[in-house]
Amino acid sequence: MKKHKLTLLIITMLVFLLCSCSQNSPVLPSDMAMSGTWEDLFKGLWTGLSDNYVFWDLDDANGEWDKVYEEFIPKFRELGNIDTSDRVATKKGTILLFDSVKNLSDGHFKMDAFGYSFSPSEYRILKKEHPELSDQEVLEIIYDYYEKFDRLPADMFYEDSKSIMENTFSIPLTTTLVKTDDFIAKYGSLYFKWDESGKCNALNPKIQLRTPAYGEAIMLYSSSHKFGSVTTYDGEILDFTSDDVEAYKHPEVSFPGKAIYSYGPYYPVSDLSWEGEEQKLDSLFSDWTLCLVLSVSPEYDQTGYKKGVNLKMLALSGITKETDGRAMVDYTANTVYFISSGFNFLPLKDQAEMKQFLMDFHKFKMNENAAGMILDMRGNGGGYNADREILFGDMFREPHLIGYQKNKTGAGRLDLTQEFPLYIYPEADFYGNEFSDIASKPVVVITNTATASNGEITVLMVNSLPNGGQTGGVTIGANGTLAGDILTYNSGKFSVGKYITSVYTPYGNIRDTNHVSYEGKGLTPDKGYEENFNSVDFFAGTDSRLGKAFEWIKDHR
Amino acid sequence: MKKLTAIVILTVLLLAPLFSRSGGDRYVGLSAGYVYSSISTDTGYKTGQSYAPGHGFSISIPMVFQVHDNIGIETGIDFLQKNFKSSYTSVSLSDTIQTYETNINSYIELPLALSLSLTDGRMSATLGAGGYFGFWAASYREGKTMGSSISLDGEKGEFGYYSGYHEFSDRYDNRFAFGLLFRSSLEYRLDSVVLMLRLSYRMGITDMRKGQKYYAPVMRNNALIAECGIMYNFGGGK
Repeated sequence: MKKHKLTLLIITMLVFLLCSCSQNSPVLPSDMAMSGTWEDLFKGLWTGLSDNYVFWDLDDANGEWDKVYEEFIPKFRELGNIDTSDRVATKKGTILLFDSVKNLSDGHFKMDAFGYSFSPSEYRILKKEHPELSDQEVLEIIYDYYEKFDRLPADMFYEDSKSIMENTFSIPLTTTLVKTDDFIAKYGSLYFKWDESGKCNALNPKIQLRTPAYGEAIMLYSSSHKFGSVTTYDGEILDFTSDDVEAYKHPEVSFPGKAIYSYGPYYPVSDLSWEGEEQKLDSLFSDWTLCLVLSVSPEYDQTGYKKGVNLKMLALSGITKETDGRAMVDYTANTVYFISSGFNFLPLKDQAEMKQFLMDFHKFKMNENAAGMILDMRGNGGGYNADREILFGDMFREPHLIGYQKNKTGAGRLDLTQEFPLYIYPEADFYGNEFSDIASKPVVVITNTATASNGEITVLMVNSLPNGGQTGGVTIGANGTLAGDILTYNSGKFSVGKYITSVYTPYGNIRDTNHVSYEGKGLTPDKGYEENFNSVDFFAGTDSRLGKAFEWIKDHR
Repeated sequence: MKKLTAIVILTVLLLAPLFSRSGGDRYVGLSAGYVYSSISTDTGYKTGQSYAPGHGFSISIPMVFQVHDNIGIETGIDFLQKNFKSSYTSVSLSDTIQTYETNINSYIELPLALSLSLTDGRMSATLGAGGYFGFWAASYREGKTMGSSISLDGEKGEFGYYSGYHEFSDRYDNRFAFGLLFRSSLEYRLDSVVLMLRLSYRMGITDMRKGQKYYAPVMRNNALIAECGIMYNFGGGK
């Protein structure tokens, strides 16, 4: 009996001993950093990412993140307490924070610390463009901010929808204006920020004048409505038949008996030219529509309140002429073309003007002679996921698989869901039950270094098509999806107290239909269809990447 | 129901000292039962995260060797499911959303326990304690998570659904489990055959995850098993 009592006692002691084993309790990153030391600030960042970063399957295959902890903890410990009045130490600590996350694959990742920003994607690109620079030199260039612009690839900043409008299609949306008496007489109601020499860069004043007094304006310009239009109270669109300015001013004369609600949605194409330079869309397209979304707000200068107009978004769709030819580039016949500055259609989709633009794009896709399509994603950094449905929901009668996604399920680094499918859903209601067969024809996407997020998901969509491809340059490799934060989505964005004000990272890890991730690597153009960005040629009006896309269509039709 | 179960268990434990088995007996048998498993972890600031217990079954080949009239060594091979459901409740100003993942985990375990048994006539009662060593053989998961491809009517794509067998990671999944084992059972002997009712509690010691050195959140699984079975006495009995 004594032996049994002893056994029971030993077992009880063992149980209590084991129950007292320490169990790590995850601490909110901001709470981790409350002591005000560099060491704890780093611990907040490190544990925040350890618990919430969704790409550890790519970035921790060999214990890399623990090695980062071991490497950087003594360095931060050495810095002691955070003292922002000590600029040298603060710069050193900030660069050290950048250094600790530089190898993360996440193409969206952006950390804002002590007023400075860092993206591992920029670091990667700089290292690739300038292999002669050391890691520390690259980090210092990024810290300096302005120094990096000369060193990053030119297409990242100079090749986007706006510059393509200006250089390829000769539509100078933003132009250099000179303050003269004549100019002020015509455009004095508009706000301009003149420099000392009496010049400024601003949106084409002819376009600005068309906008309402305040709010948001969606303005369309189209070859099918070249003199502009008015809309009646019944929603009927009535086109002006000439560029007669007086007729434009008095639509009640041009359209007798019609109850006119507003000008638009189409405006005179003549607005798009400035100082004699004519737009070149008509040389390429048999039909096209340009959409501009503008914000209007009161601005004040020394002469009083003026109308301040800014371009928020632009999109263009068109279809090339009926025979192969040459405009600014060699083009293939009956090719649908689309470009937009971003994926920002969702909040505007139900506005009559935006719906009209989308229906024009739909009309081009539905053209029975359409032989293929070019989706120009240069400079497109993404936006709303639902825009995929808005723009492409008339191309598929069934949900179309474009990739797979996985999310976090817990605080362990590889606590991930299994992959689940991502689709583009058919949008019968939005498109009146009309579906295009363009997805079965050659479809190519043009990309550059600034193509990111939903711009890249568009590439995944095109690559999933039976005859889809990619031309141009390598994308940035930012395929994740973002929403919420670590408390609402169990992963993703967070901050670490008052010094690291934002760690911007996705909650969803996305890969293509072959389950391959391109995060941090980017999507590469089809072999033989890569095209470097030549800024000299581009600014002179030769868009070789657009030409390469037409070449792809020609080779694949 | 829970109170009644506790009363029955306590009664058996209190009456146990009245009985004892025969030294030298060897038993091998077959048993099956119900498993109620739970997760021990600390979710810290992730207050939306929870792990709900799961229900499963077990199938065992129990083996007992009586080294003495009252003391035995219990072992065997067990197949059991240690299931649970993890969920995350996200509360925003406009909505409350819950996502989840059901885990059906299959383990093969080798228990080893020292047992104290007391027999009176055909009835025996045992109390045992020891440990187990297990292998995480398979994990089937089914879940609902936040999607990112939503249709314009909002009816499709808001959530993503998945199901299938988990592909184990050599880096992160700890396939080997070790823990403590506590048991009590009630047996009725019919000549060489013994009918058994047994209640076991397995307390996980090892972390289900590995590969994270610092500030790693630990996850352990525990199981309460109620089983019935039949054993055959191979010899040495009185």
